[in-house]
Amino acid sequence: MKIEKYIRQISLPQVGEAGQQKLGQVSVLVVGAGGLGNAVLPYLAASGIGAIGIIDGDTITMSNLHRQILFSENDLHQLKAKVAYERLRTQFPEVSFVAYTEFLAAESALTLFKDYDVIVDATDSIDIRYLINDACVLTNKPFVHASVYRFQFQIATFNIDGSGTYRCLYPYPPKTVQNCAEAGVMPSTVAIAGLYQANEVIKYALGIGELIINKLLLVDTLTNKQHQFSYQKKDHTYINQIFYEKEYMKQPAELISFEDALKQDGLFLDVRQPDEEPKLAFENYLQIPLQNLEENLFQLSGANRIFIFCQSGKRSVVAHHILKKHQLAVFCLKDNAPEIDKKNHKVL
Amino acid sequence: MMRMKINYFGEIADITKQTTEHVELKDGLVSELLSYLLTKYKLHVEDMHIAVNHEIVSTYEDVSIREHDEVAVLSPFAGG
Repeated sequence: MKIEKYIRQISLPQVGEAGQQKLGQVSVLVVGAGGLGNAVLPYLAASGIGAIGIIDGDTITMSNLHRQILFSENDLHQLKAKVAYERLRTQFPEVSFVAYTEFLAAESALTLFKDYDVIVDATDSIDIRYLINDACVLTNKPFVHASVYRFQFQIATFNIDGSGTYRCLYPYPPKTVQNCAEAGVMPSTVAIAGLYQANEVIKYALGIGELIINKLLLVDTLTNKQHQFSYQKKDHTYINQIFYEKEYMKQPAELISFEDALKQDGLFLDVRQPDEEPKLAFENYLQIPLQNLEENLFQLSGANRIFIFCQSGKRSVVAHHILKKHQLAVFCLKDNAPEIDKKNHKVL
Repeated sequence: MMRMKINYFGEIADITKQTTEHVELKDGLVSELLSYLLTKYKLHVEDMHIAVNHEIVSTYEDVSIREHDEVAVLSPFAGG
């Protein structure tokens, strides 16, 4: 540890050398390298946090640059997590950084969260926020939340030593909300919100001060007014593995071999585009492109079973998910049915 | 009739086009306020969270509001 580098914060009676060591032992996962991420990441790193994970599957656009200050015009179209990682590790070589250039997914969230001590919710998506909350409950990790609406932001720390969770505050996702892209935002507003998050993480790591737990802090940067709202902690034992899988993970598609499917009374559904080669035609064959599937369900109403295939098998899985929601008996053809020779336009 | 001062935050303030409003409620119940907001501003009941004296109240319990209580209506923010 370079004492000299951190001497101004070590001088604080609440920090000291012992506190600085604590910071160096903490690992933080920042979900989202957008406006909030660009504020929270450099300040966590600057404080000497030991390890920082950055997860974001998004790429940099021109409209990001006014508030996402780790990026420049040279970085356009590149992955945010990768560019942030490169920039930060040059500036803060003593911090161990990891970049995950993908969006947080339910399948990997639980494993990923187990590797970190604190999770920072720096996303701009309400749906991902519920995923973060529920994954934190299951892995017993604290998370620091912030979200912005125009000149206002909300900040709170959840799931610490049995404290309330995001679902205690907002039990269910809202029907209508706008993100930064739609509502507009000033760089200073989102940066202040991100710095509040960094401050919460630092206090948590050091075990000092008061965290924003069991309450929400709402700051209006236009009027400089701050409001604290307390909320009742609610039972969240219903957030278990089964709930999580049902809520976030697509059920694995049921598979059937082409041979077995031929023996059964059903329809072979091709979800490719009509202009994709080869054109197929055989008994009980029907083509509905994936994007038109929901409005053409009536075409499938008479079928006892539906066997789905496409070019690679990826669209079939999505189609399976859609049709399953409509209570239809659906299967994906095993290995995407190599028996249907898509090169030679025929069924082998 | 009770005259209440209601503070709006975030998107709710944009929809109501004001940050505070004086609302008259007959019985002073949260359900009356929700019904008023639903009728006047077409706000989704599920998306509104009411705080009375800085404490978010469960809309199922239909808490009473007194004349000088500080009432806030807020909703989750999405941006980041």
